[in-house]
Amino acid sequence: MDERQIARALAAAGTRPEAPAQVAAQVHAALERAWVADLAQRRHRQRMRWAIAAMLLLAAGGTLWLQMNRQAPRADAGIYVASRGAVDISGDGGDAHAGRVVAVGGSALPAGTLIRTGHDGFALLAVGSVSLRIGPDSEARLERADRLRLARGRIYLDSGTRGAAQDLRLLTSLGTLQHVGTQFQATVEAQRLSILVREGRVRLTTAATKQLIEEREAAEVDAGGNAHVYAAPAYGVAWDWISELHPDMPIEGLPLTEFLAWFARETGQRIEYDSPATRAAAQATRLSGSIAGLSPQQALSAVLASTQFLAESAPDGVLRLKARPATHAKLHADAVDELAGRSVNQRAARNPGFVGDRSGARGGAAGRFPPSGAARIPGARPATDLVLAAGARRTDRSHRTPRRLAGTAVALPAGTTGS
Amino acid sequence: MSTAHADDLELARRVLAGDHTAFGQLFEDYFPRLFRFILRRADRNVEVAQDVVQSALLKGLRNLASYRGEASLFTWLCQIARHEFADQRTRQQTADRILVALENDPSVRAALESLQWAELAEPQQALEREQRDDLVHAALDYLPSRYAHLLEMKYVEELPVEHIAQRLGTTATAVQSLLSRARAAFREAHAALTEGLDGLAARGRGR
Repeated sequence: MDERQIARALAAAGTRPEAPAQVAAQVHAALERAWVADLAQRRHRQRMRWAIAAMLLLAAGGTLWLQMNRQAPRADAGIYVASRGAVDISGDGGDAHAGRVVAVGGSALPAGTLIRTGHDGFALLAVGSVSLRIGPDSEARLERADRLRLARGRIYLDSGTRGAAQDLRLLTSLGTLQHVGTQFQATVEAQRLSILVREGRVRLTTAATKQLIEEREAAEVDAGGNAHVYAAPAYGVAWDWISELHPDMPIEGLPLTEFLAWFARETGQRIEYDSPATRAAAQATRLSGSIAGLSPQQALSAVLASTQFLAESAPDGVLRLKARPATHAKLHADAVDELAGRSVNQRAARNPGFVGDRSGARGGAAGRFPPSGAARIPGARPATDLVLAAGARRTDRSHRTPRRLAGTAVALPAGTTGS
Repeated sequence: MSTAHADDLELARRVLAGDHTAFGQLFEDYFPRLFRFILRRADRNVEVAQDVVQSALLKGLRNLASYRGEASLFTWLCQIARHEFADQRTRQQTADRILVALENDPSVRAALESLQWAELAEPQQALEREQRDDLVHAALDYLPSRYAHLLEMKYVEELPVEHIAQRLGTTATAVQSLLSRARAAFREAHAALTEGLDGLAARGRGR
């Protein structure tokens, strides 16, 4: 089809027929109406969708906001165990937990609890498996179960076991301490942080340094965060304050060796036995009674008073245990009985099984204990008798006026049961 | 997406967005062509063409979001119009069957037969000419609008190139160039339609 043919065809066909104007107008009008209505409907649906989406978003946002701002009950951060002297325990000042915390032994302490101690105040807390002691003139906040902030004063931490790093961190203005299975104490005074490590290690992080402080070391951290580390004993005057308040130590049925291990842990001293036989005898000696309210030193005196053992202090914080000489033991026992106001005859009359040989009754010196299982000795003195015996340790013997102590202790040969 | 139909897609997007100018443009571009498309199939029944095209355009508008530009918008609308026309015919056949049933009624038939009917049969020559013209018009409708208008201005209205250039606001050279492309397009469309018709006729004869 060339141009001429095209021209002819087009000319012959003429103008394409058009829809009548009225038809076109009617269709246009109808279509436009429908189109506009559809548009409006679509826009309305769109607006509704947006509105619903906005409402959902708003609802979700509101829910989130409510959840974020809800006064969620706080998890307990620790437990109050005991205190002595002036101690003030209050909640976080910023929320519903504000105010005094009712602190009776075993009370849970919410996160944010503030503990302030006066000149004579001591507080004992448990945070997880860690035991915390707060000394006099201190201010510490238990921010969370894994974070304690010491603003001033001193704190002693005993994680109970050596081992891996624990969660609890001690925060001070000069640095952060993280224990690695340890016993240590930290003191914050003005612009100085002192750390004493008895056992294990402490990870110190300050603005200027990051280092581990080993056991029997001390560190002094200055205002700039610089740490001076030096050797320091794990016992002695610097540690005395922690003896003022310690977790209860039930000794009922406990071997003497275990009590001594506790004593060593509490004082930083090392226990040595003068012979394997002494150790064996101490292991075989079971305790009965209570040392509640006694300091470790007082407890040691009270407990040993009822045994055939003596403890002698040696250099380097060593406490040497040895068997009490038999004669000495007998004299000692008689003195105790005398203090109790009884005669040997009286005791024999009251208990026919009593043989009168106190050293024998108590098993005597090391190596003369009856074999385990045959140690139930008739007439073994009940714990009540030993209230006075224990009290005698605190008695001014010259005046013979026994003073009852808060704790009582008794040692029974193996196989016997306490009262 | 075919870039060849980018303009159609853009027009569809604007109509969907509520652009009244675009709506006007869509109507001006496609209503006349669709009208002729159906008019040819509806034995030039304007009413049928109007109903079908209106329905088809309405459906097209309501489904414009589904237009992907795979074919030209005109082809897409023609497809809808074709379906609409088929539906309309189905409806009409149902009506016809009713009418036939009515016509078969003896009393109605008697009344109808008494009427004097005009000669409805069209001379064969006129029919052929009409088919030829329809073919040309259909080919024009399948061309881009500006090509079809240009060809009509040149060969139907017989306007001089300069005049066309003036009307289109361009140069005579540009019109010549455009005319050349329009003729090529027309030639192609016309050939395609003629071949299609021949094929249909052959199939018809073979039956």
